Amino acid sequence: MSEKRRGPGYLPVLALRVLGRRTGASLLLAAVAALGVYAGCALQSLVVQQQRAIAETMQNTVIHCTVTDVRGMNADNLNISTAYVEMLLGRKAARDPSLADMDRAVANIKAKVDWELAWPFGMTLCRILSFDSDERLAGAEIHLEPGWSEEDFLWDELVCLAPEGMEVGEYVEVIVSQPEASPRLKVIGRVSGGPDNVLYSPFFMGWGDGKSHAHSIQSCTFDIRDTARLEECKEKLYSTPFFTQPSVNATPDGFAVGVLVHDEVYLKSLEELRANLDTLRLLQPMLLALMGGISFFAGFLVNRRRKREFAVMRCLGLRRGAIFAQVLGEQLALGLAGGLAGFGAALLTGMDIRRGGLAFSGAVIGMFLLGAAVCAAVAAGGSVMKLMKTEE
Amino acid sequence: MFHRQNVRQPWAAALLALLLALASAFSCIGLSGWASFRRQLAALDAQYTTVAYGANYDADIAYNHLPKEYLDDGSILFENGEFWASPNRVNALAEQAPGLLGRNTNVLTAAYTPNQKGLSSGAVEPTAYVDVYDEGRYAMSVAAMRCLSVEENKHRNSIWTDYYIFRFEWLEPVCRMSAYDLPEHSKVLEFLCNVNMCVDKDGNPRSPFETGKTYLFRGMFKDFRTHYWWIPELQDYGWYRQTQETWHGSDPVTDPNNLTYWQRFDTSLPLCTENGASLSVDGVGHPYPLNPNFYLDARELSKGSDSLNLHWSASVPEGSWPLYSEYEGDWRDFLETEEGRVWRDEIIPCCERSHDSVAVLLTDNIQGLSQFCQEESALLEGRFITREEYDRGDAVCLVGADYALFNGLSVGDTITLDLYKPAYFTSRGGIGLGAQGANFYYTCCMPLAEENRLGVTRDYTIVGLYSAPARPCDPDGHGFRGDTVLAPKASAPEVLAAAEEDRVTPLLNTLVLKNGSIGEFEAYMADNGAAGRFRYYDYGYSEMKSSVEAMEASALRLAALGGAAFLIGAAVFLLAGFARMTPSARGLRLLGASPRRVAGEMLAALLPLTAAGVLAGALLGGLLYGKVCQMVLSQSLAPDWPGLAACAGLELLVLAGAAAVWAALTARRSLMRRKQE
Repeated sequence: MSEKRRGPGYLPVLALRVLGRRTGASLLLAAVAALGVYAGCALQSLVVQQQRAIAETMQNTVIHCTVTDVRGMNADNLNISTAYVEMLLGRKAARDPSLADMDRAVANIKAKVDWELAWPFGMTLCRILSFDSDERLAGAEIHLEPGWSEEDFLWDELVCLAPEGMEVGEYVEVIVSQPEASPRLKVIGRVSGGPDNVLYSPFFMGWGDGKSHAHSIQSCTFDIRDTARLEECKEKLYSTPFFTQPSVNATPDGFAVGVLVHDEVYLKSLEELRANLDTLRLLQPMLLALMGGISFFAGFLVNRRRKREFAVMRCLGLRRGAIFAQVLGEQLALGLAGGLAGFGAALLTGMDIRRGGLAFSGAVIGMFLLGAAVCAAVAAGGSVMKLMKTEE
Repeated sequence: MFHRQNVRQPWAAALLALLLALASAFSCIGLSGWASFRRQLAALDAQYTTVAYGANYDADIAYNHLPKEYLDDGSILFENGEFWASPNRVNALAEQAPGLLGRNTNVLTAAYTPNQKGLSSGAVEPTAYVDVYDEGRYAMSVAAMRCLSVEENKHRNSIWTDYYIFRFEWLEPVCRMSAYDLPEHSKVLEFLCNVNMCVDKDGNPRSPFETGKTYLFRGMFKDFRTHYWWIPELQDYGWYRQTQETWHGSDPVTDPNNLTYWQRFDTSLPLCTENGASLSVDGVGHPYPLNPNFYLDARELSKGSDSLNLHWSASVPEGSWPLYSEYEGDWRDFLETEEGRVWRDEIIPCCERSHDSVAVLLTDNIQGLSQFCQEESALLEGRFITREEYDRGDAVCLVGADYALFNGLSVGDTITLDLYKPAYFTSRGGIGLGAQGANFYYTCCMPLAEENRLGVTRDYTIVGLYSAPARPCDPDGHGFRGDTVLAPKASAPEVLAAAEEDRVTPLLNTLVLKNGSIGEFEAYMADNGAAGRFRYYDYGYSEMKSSVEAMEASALRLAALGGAAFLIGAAVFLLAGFARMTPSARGLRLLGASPRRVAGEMLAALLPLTAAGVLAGALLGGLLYGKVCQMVLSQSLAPDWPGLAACAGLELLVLAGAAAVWAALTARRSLMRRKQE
């Protein structure tokens, strides 16, 4: 009766004493809660990590494209007009609206044409769109005069890059035999470590005779501008009548060219990565159900042992509600302590804890408490006499 | 007694078993997840090929500094401390380097295709013709020619320059690939033969040919030059002109439009010394193969008699096919004579077989071929050869799309290959036009000599068509055109057995590296003085690295979570289970039962419960994982049942062991002390 006089405030103290006395069981229940929370955080962290890795992969991957004939062949022997390069650069939208915004789909276009020069004797004039358009420039150092940049090679200035060892002044006169032309090119830079018999000029450069001279190119490659928008970019490319998906059985019409998009390995890999992410997402509810079940039974089974204790408490005058509250309080304390420990462990192990992880953890603690509550309700609701007969 | 307790309180026993089943299911799902992720990682890994190609393996050494020491393996240490590692050293280092999975040695051979036509480089698109690609098989021809003149070469200045300049005119191509049957541009052509044939055994100049006589020749026909130019008057492309000045001696050939063309007929053959060694080396420094009927006997000239400074005189070996035969009248009549029999029955059929042939590249990894790595070749239709097909040596192949179109083949068709012993040589060329680089290597197969025929004819099923460059120009790897059949190495063991290992061109060799190990490999090479000696390709695996690492982490964490969940679930199970039995155990002990008996009875009651829980959990976990994965995911992630069984077995063992210890401790608990409490 003296315990009763101390009032309901004594119950938490009693609960703590009980927990302290039953160290093994308490630790186990706390560990279950901790593991549940840790599992929730870990799974959520894995999902976040995988999502981030996929995004990173998409960002880092460069999808190369090769212009071919419509059958997917002759990539190195195209003989197509430079107009196709202009289309890829998005400069022909006025001719065909389907070419508008093409530059938003493709990037890093590489194309070049070599012209053998009648003068300087033995030299070649190589028209390039960018410095990496010609493999011979790989590893070479290019020194540009101030005010000039690689961008200028996308246009039609009468300029050139000369080999380091070539003796030229500010300008170099070149003679082209077909068509007959002798433009005067301003030397805007030097190439060291590259071929010593090649002058590099902008891809669309005219001959300085005021006429437009179309020429043909042997090869052209480019990249998809944004790998994350791969399908959209491909759709944009293939929506024009000028570029088509190559097929061995296609009939060349002399108009369309094929574009081989080298995305097979990337797409297959992405499929695997996404399957992995799906698996992780799938595991979340499954593990929640299992973890919840373990928590429920752990709470239930451990408290089931205390039937006699609850009966004694009832004999001492404690009401059912008070017993229920005490058991629930004990479990709550254990659950919260375990949950905090799990949460701390998750933080310490560098997990990315977000809303999903917290929700999962909360659900596990909830199941844990539910198990304890059911047990407490059963214990508190039973006949005292029957409970007293329970074997220890 | 404890059994009765279980029976009396079945729901409590069931709850205990259920708890264990859930913990076991959790661990099994963790294990399945781990196994699935490992499979996914393996699948991801299999999609990528990381290879290393020897770059500039014969690169000129920069002699900017004086050599200080020549090492035994051919490496050079310079005075300024720089070090140049010889190819031997590079290869030896590569064998020890981390990340090396193996060396993929592809085998190149040729095969006669009875039902298909060969695809010479200019067969479909004449502008794509390059003589170097047709050398060997397609260019081999038999021609009837008349000698117009034999002149002494006044400009001769080296042992490589012809002593005589022969002018021949075409009478008729007796056997020439149909792809070359374009309108003839001229009657006169450039004629090449071994300079060593132009001296007798005593070293005196001797012309094998006489002006005005007619001959049947065998050799390599080289069509007009590939360089082309736009001709406004013709509104068409014309062939690149070789000016008279650039070629010693011979007259240029001029067509009605005053454009000059060259056609050549090359009767040169490799030289073989008396001890059977090949004197001629190819573009990678390997001796030319000495195929029967396709070499000349070389005889060393004594210093006194070597007036032309040739060192060797050459002649057709005894018993070998003639290189040329003089005839009179019509060559058709000559073929009917006894002297013409060898031309009719042996040389011309060999020529025809060579025209209707393909190169066969036997490999264990098509995606590891340099041309595919560089995206110069790509799969256009069908599929690649699978790992299982490589391993089994299935008769499946990929052919070039242009070859397939040329011959009306498609995926699913079969191509019959009459296989020959590998015999090839590598040319070092430079086309100089278009996108081609200045220097590249191209490996050509020798004509299909009957003596090299393996007698193995096999039907290969075409599983894919690939695109190939019209002018392959790989500076470091093996470049090939669409007329190359790509097949598993194990599909032609006879070819592998006949291949001479010492003649394998380094262009066919690839080092296969573990995905993601390029940095490690190159660092090792650099540390040992061989930096930058390899070119690497990984199909973008390095860009996938973060995703792969995330997957690996997921797999491990999932397995760890499963294990931890099981351990805690098992601990609760044991705690609750023994808590139920402890009072009864004490009672039994008080009644005089031995601790051993009590422990045994406790175990006998608990173990069936344990087994039921663990097995049910494994089954539940496996089914749940497999079923839901199959329902939700596009691909089946079937649980690994043997793995699950092993996992369940292990769990059972651990639990049984823990239960035995716990039971023993409970049974031996001091009754007196318990009473005092």
